[in-house]
Amino acid sequence: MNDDLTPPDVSLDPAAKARIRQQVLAGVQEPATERRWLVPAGAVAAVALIALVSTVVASGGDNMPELAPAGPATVTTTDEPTNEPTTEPTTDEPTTDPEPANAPAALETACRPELGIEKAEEVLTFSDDLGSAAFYSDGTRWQLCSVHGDIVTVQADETIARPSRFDSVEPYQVSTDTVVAADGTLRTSFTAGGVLYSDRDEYLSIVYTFPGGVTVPAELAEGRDGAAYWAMDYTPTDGPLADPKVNQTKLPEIEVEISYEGGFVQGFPLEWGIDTCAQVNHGC
Amino acid sequence: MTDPSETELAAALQAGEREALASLFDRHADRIFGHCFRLTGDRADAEDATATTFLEVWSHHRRVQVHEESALPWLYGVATNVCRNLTRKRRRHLQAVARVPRESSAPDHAESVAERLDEEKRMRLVLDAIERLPQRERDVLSLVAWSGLSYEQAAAALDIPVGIEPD
Repeated sequence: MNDDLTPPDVSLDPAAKARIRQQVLAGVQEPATERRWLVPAGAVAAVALIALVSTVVASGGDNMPELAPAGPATVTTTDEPTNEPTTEPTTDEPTTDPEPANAPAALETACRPELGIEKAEEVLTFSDDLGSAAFYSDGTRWQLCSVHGDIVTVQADETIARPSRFDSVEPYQVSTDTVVAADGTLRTSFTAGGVLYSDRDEYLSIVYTFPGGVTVPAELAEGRDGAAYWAMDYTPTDGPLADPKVNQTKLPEIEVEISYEGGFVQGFPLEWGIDTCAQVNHGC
Repeated sequence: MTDPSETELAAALQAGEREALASLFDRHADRIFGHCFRLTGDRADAEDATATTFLEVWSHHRRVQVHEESALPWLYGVATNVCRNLTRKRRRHLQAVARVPRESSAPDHAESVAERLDEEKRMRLVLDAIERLPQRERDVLSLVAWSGLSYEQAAAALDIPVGIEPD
């Protein structure tokens, strides 16, 4: 072989080796038998539990909360619903609530006329104290529908099998609904969701950071159609986004950060009005 | 006390023992790094790929394979796939607003920095020279000619799906 085609003899210096070793072993703290794609840390999972006040169910053998598959089975909510994310882990045990405020049937009735996919079935639902949302799928395409107050919002239907928009902000755009809450105040809900197009084991987390510094991790869960979904729903109750007098477009942009195993992090800012108006059935 | 064999380490890894991963890392990280460098032409990418390789190994620990009393061919296979995907991801990330967190190591002296840049430059020339080869042939060249695997080991390494990213 020509010398020019001989690769240089490189070595991993001890400091780098020690650092990588530390990185690797830090990434395998949890038992290997646990699913690692949901959220990496229990504290973050607890935050997600509070943030969404979701209809969560305990997954078999897995300590992480999951979005509840559609249907009446083992639906639970937290004791005192609040959708305000916090960085403090909670020890609250979920309690059974046989009649959640946003029943799947009501969601189905509201969403069905708005869906663009014929014969789509509800495959995954989640809710907070102001509304509910669900993924609908016909096995090849999916669509996200959310209901906040009396506003029904659907985002564009997308294919399950093939990524059409993977490396851009588009899959992470949020829909925005402004509704009058029970106490008469105007509240704005931000909803986003999608399919984990790649091997879901690669994903560690999808986290939105809102003006004011509130971070909301998305829930990652498997739908009844077998597809892996992620969802984020956030309704600020304080801070700049809860103030109806504040012009959102003058605030810092919402940012989303997607973390993958191996340390890859992908981040996108969401341009106000462009990336915060993902709904297709009504205006912003 | 004698060091455990690779077969024993593989069994421990399959049982989910974290120490087995640490042992495999200690034994083979240098060679995996070298392999990744020869595939990427970039030291930082190779370091990332080395870390990712061992995290992939952990994620798929039940699928670890030993070939001729060595886990190295399997590790090379995982690393080959990781590096291929790393390159693909790197392209994607550059197109978007992406960043790869990379802790800075100890400050380099100018001499070693120059040396490293020279290594990367040389490696990129080599990679450019073989760019027209089909991917599979490049992988074989890297594993056999550069990493010293036998043809049988290379075949075993390239038959490993772990670390492949679905299109």
